[in-house]
Amino acid sequence: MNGLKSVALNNVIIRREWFGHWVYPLLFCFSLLVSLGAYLTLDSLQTAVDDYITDNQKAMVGGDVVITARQALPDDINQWVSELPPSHVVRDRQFNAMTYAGETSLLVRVKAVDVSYPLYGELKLANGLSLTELKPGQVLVERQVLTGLGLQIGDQITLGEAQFQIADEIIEEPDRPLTAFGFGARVMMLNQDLSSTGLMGQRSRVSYRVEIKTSDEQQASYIQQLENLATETQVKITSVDDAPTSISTLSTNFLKFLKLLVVAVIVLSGVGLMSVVKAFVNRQQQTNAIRRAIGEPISQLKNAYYRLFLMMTVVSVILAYGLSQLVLYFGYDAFAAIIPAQVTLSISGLSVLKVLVIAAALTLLMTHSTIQSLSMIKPVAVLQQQTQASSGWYFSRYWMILSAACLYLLMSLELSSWWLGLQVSLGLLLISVVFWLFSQMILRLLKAAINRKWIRNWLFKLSIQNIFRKGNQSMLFFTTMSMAVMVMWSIAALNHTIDQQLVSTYPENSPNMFMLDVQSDQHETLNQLIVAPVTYYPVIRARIDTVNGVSAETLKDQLGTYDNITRVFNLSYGDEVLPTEQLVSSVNDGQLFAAADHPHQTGAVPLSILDSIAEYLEISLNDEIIFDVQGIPVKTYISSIRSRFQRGPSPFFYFMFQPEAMAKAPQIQFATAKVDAEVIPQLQTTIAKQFPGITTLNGASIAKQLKGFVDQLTQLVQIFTGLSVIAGVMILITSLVSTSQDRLQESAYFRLMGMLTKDLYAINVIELMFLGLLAFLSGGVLGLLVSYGITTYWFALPFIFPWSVSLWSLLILMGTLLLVSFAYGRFVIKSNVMNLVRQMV
Amino acid sequence: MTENVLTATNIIKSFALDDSEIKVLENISLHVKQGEFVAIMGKSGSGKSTLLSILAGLDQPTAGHVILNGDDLTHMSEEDLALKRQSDIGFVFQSFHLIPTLSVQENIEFPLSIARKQNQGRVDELIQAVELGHRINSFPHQLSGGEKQRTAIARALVAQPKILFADEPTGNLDEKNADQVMQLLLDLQKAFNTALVIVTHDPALAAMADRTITIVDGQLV
Repeated sequence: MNGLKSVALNNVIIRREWFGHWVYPLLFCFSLLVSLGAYLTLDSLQTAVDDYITDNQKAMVGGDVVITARQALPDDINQWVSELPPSHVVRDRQFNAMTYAGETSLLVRVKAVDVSYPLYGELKLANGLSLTELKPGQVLVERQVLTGLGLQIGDQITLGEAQFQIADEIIEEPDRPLTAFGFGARVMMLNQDLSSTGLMGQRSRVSYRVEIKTSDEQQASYIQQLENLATETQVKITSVDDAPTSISTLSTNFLKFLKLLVVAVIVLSGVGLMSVVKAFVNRQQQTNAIRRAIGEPISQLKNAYYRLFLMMTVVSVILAYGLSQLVLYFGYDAFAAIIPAQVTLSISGLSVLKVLVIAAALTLLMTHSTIQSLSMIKPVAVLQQQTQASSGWYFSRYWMILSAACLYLLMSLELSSWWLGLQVSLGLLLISVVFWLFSQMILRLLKAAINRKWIRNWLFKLSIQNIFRKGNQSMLFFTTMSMAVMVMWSIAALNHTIDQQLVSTYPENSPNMFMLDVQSDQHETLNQLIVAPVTYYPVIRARIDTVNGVSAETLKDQLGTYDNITRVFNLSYGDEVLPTEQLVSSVNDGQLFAAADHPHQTGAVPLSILDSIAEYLEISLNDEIIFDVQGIPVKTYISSIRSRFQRGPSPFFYFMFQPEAMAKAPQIQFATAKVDAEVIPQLQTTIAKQFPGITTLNGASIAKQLKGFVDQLTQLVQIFTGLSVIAGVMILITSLVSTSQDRLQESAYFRLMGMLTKDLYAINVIELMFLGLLAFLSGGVLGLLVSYGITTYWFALPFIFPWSVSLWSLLILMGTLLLVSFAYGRFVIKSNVMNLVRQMV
Repeated sequence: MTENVLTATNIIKSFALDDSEIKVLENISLHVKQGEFVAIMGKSGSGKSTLLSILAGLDQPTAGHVILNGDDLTHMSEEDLALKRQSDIGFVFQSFHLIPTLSVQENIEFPLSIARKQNQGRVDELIQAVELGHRINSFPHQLSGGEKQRTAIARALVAQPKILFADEPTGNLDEKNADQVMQLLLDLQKAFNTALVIVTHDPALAAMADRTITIVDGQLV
C-alpha cells in the first residue's frame, strides 16, 4: 500500500504537469497517431489479403494442380488428363479478341472453359444462372461488355466467325479477384463453342491451362507424373501452393512497399516524439531538482517518466485504432485497384499488438536519451538558485546500435527476408545521411550569408539567425521536408510528363493503331481499309537456349531482374533499323548484319540486338546466342547493337534477323498505323468484321487505361509519402515548443526595448516560412533533376515542368507554416511576453 | 551528554579555474548536537551556502569529512546520499521550492511517499502545527509567501529528520511573515528535538540560535 501511494504521488506530479499543458500530450499523440494509424491500416489490409489468399488459394489458382502452356498441350499430357474424372478437370483457354455488335466493337478477353468450372470457389452471375445451364451459342460477359457495346442480357455479339447470345452478366470470377489490370473485358464460353469462332488457329497469344482437382495425398503423385510427361517441353506444372496469383504478385508487394514508406514515417515521428519529451522534461528541471534534493531516488524519477510516456503510447495506439477504422471505412475505394472487392476488411488483434510493440519500442528508444539525462540533475543547483543548462542530445553507442538493430528487425520482418531487410535499412540510412549532408551544406551557406552581412534587413536577419538557435530542429526539419518534397515532386513530375506526352496528347509521330495476328494475305485489304500507311512487323516466337554456351536456365539466377531470360521472346527480321532506333556498334561498319564474307562461326547467322538486352545478357559483338525457334535450334552471333533514341508507343524488337534467315519461319504479323484518332473505333469494327482473327488496339485508349491504373497506385504512394511531410511539420512544431522559453525570453527583451507586436510575430513567421521555402526549393530542385533524368534518358521523352502541382503544393506548405507560426506567435509569445517583461522589471 | 548529530572535520572546497585553484572553504570543522540550533553567518560570497550544501550532502567537499548520524557522507554514492536525505535530513529553502503540481497536503506528504512510508498522523499534526488546515487542497501558486514557507517547513519535518537545514528561510518574506515563520521553525524544532542549522546574514535571526558560526572568506572565525 505504501509503495502504491509512493508510485501514485510520483506519477501525480508528472501527470498534472503533463496534462496541465495540453500542447505536450497533443503533440505526443499526434506524432505517433498519423504514422501508427497508417501502419495499422496497411497491416490490416495486408492481413486481410493474406487471409483471403490462404482461404481462397484454391479458388484463385483454379485447382490443386495446374498445367500451363503458351501452345497446345502435347498429346501424352492430353491423354493423361482425359483419364481423370471430368468433374475434376477444367480446361481453360484464354486470348484477346475483338467482339462487335452493330457498328461498335470492343477488345475482350475470351475465356473458354469446361462445364465443370470452377473446381473451387463460385462463379457469381447477376441472374443466378449456372454454367451448366449455358447452352451452345451462349456466352457470359462482364458488365463492361454490356456498357461498352450498349447491350443488355439477351442481346447478340459477334466473336470471330460466330454470333453468341449474352446469357448472363459475370459478377465475380473466383480466379480473377483483381480486374484493374489485364486488357479486355471478360467473355466466357464453354469449350465446345470455341471452334465455332474460328479464332483458335489464328491466335498467337493463347494461354492454355488445365486445372485439376485432387486430394492432398494424390497431389504429389499427379505432379510427378505430369512433370515426367512435360520433360523437354515448355509446359509448366504447378501445385496450388506454388502457383502465383495476381493478388500475391501485386497486392502483397505493393502493400509491402507502402508499409516501408510508413516505417520511414514512423522513424520520423519518433524524432518528433523525442523533441516533445525533451521540451517537457526540460521544463521540469526545477521540480526534478527539488525532488532529488528531498531525496527521491533517480530510478523512481525515471520510472515515473517511463510510466507516463508508455501510458501515452497506449493512448496513441487506441487513437490510431480509431483513425485506422475511419480510413478503412471511408477510404476503402483508394485501395480498390489492389484489394479484391471480396476481401473483408477489419483490424486484427495481431495487427494492434504489432503496432503496440512497435510504438512501445519507439517510445522507449526515443525517450531514452532525455530520461537518462535526468541522472545529471544536480540537487545542489536548487540550493544555489542555479538554472541548469538544458542538456543536449546524448546518444550512446549502445543506443545507436539498438536503434539500428530495431529498424533492421522491423524492415526484415516486413520484407520477410534478413538480406533484403539489411539492404533496405542500409539504403534508408544512406539516403538519410546524404540528405543530412545536403541540408548541412545548404544551412551552412545560409549561415555564411548572415555572417558576411549579405542580409541587411534587421528583421530578416533576426529571423534567419533564429534558424540556428540552439535546440531548434532546423536541420531535422529541413532534411525531412526536402526528402519528402523530392520524392513527391519526382512522382508528380513524372506523372505529369507521361500524362501530357502520352495520354492527354498522344505523341504525334507515334502510331496509334496496333493490329495483332495479321496474316500476310491480309495486307492488301488492310491497306485499303486503313488508307494511311501501315507498317508490318513479322513476329517469330522463340526462346533462348544458350548464351555463349551457357544454358538459359543456368543464367537465369545470375542475371539481373531486368527481364526473364527463359521466357518466350518475339524475334523479327528486316533490312533496316526501325525509325526510333540507331546503330551503336557493328562488326561491319555501320551495317546491321555482317557482310557475306565475314568470318563467323560455322552455321551461325548474324543477329542485331538492342543495347538494353545486350546489357542484361552481358554480351557484345561476336558473342553467340542459340535460339529454340519452335523446336528448331538457330545459332546466331551478334553482328550489331542498336539503341532506341525515342521511347513511347512504338514497336521494338530485342532481336532482329536478316530476312533470308527467318522469312520462312512460322510467324504472325504485328502491324501499326497512324490514323485520325476519331476513326479508330470505326476501323476496329470494320477490321473485326472483315478479319475476325485480327485484334486491333487503340493506342490512346490503352494508354489512358494504363494511366488510370497507374494513377491509383501513384495516388496511394503520394498519400503515404505525404505523411512524411506531416511528420516534418510535426518536427517543426515540437521544435518551437522545445525552444519556447528561449524565444519568450528573447521576445521579452525585444518588447522591453519597444518592439511592436507585428514585428514580434514577423520574426517567427519569417523564420518558419523561409526555412520551409528553402527546404521545398531544395527538394524540388533535386526532384527536378531526378525526374528530368528519368524522363529524358529512361523514357526518352521531353520533360514538361508541372507548374500547377508545384505551385499548389508550395502554396499549401507555406500556408501551413504561416498558420503554425502565427498561432505560435499569438498563443505562446504574445500571451506570455508581458508577464515576463514585468518580472524582468 | 547530548550526542553530535553532525560532525564536519577539516572541510575544504575548491574549484579549478584555468590554471589556478579557488578555495571557497578552508579547513572548516564544526559539530551540531541533537536538538541544537546553530546559525551560520557570513556576507554574500563568504561560502556559507557552499558549506550548507556540503553539510547537507548535496555537494562533496574537496577534502575533509562530514559525519551525519554516524554515517560519513563524503564517500557516499549519489543514491545513498538520496536515501540519507530521505531519512535524516530536512530542507527549507529561501525560495520555498514547493512542487507546483502538488497541493499543500500532497507537498507535505511527498517525503514520506518517496521513502515508502506512511504516517498520516504526523502529516495531520504538522498541518495543524503550521496552521494550514484550511489550505490543504490549495496549490502553491494560490498561497502567500508565508503560507508557502510554512508548507515547506512542514514538508521538511514530516519524515522526522535528525537535522533540519534552512537556507535564508525568511529571505523572501516580509517582516511580519518572517517573524511568524521563524518562530514556527523554532517551536517545531524544539518540539521534535531536531537539530537546526540556518544560514543567514540576519544578526537578529542569528541571535535566536544556541550558537553562531561566522564564516569570512571561507574560514571560520
